[in-house]
Amino acid sequence: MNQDNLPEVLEIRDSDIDAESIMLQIRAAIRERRTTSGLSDAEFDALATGAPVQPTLDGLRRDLERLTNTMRYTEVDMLLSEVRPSPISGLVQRFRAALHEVILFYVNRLAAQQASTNRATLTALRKTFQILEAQQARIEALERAQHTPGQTLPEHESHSPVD
Amino acid sequence: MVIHQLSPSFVLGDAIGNQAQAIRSTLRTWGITSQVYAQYRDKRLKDYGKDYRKLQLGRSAHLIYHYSIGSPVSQIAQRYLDRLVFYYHNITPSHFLRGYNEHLADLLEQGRESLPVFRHAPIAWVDSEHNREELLALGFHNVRLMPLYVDTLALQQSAASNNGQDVVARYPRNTQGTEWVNWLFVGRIVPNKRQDALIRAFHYYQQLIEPHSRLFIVGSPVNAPGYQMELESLTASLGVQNVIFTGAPSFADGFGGYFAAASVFVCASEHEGFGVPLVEAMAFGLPVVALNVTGIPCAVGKAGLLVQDNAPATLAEAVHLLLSNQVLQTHLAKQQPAQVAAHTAAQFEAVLRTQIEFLLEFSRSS
Repeated sequence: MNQDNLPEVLEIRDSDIDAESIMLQIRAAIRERRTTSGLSDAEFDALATGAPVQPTLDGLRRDLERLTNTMRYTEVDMLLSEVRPSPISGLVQRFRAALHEVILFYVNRLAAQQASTNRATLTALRKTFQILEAQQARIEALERAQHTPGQTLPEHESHSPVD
Repeated sequence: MVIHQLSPSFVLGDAIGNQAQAIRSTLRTWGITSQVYAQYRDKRLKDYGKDYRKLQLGRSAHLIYHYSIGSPVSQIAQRYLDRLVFYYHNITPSHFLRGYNEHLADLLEQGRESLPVFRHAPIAWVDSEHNREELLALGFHNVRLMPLYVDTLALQQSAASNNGQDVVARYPRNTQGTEWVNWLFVGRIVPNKRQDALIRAFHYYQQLIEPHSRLFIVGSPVNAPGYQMELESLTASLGVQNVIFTGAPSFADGFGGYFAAASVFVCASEHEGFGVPLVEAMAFGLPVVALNVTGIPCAVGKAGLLVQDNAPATLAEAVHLLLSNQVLQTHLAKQQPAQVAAHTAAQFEAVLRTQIEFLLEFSRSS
């Protein structure tokens, strides 16, 4: 069977599909795609095998943006919704209102604590991100200087750019 | 006559919940007293069963125990081991959930450890050959196939409803002369279903084969919310376009519309006890590409393309091969009605009748 000439050679002669044959055809298609994709071998392998994506600063920036948005959601609607008046009796309504206040007291305290933790975590992550960005910029500058004779190396910042 | 069911949960839209509901209503139409007892009950169900702790069986009553996870419900089932129908739906290996949902992982482990306790049950039911093999290897007796009921009619009605048609209109397969390929996968968003492998395969497909393509990931992330965050992050990192996380729409929300809008159903899952959505996809005549593992070949039969690994290139090229090869597609499509028929109401009732007759005959003779 010519594996590189796929659709023409695919024949189904009985109700049982020959899985092995199909796998061979798929492998042939992958080989062909490698040569026609215009990607380097490394790029193609990453795409074809699902090798883990190298984390990037852009990716981290998006994650932080998403975290910021998610945190906003957790900070809204901290109060429970209003209790509708019960038609049954005023006593039940008063009891529900009192219970509601108790719940609000504990829920709001917990929510405030969580929101405070979220803010602190996000701040720490943002600072880490800024440090990484500054380090990345320095690495790139150093790499450029290394390849350009006569260029002076950039000054090293001994302190954190976010201090 | 009394035949009750026991289950850790009785939930709307869940395969086991649907099956328990179908068994209960069929038994009732035959004049058999039947109720579902569960730990977690979904109040959206019209009759959402009873608390499992209230189960009391008379001497002649029988109990069907749906087993897929460790649970306190097990202790109740063990009390009635001598007249138990142990209905095995398989157990997701716990390692998939570690790091995402420790409590669920513990329960799965507990379920796997307690499984041999039930090998003394007089009768066991399974919903796939894969599950039968597991039970036989553990020394279970009288292991009998009781297929899952799949309500394809309700699904078709959902697709035809206004909400279903809205979904179809939102994601057309032809826009101003441009053909679009819509991939679909339906299932809870949990690591064993490998939606990450699916996204990577779709990335390959969109980059190298068909840029006009979409991927619908339909399912609830409630069991592993962190995994969905990972999937969203992966999607953004890869730069893959048109990946649509729909959540878990109900039939009324137009769930069926996603099947009607899809071009192909792709399953990269590494563990399924059976895989109801595969049958649902076939009910819509969708070409199916799935990984050839666990219960998946039982659900797909000869009506889909089963691949041996879920590497992105393999899955994506298999999808392309199937969609571009009319001979293969037609051949597989011809097998689909028989595969779906095994799960229709009529077939479900016929098999259930046989199984109940066997149960009664067996209990009389012993």
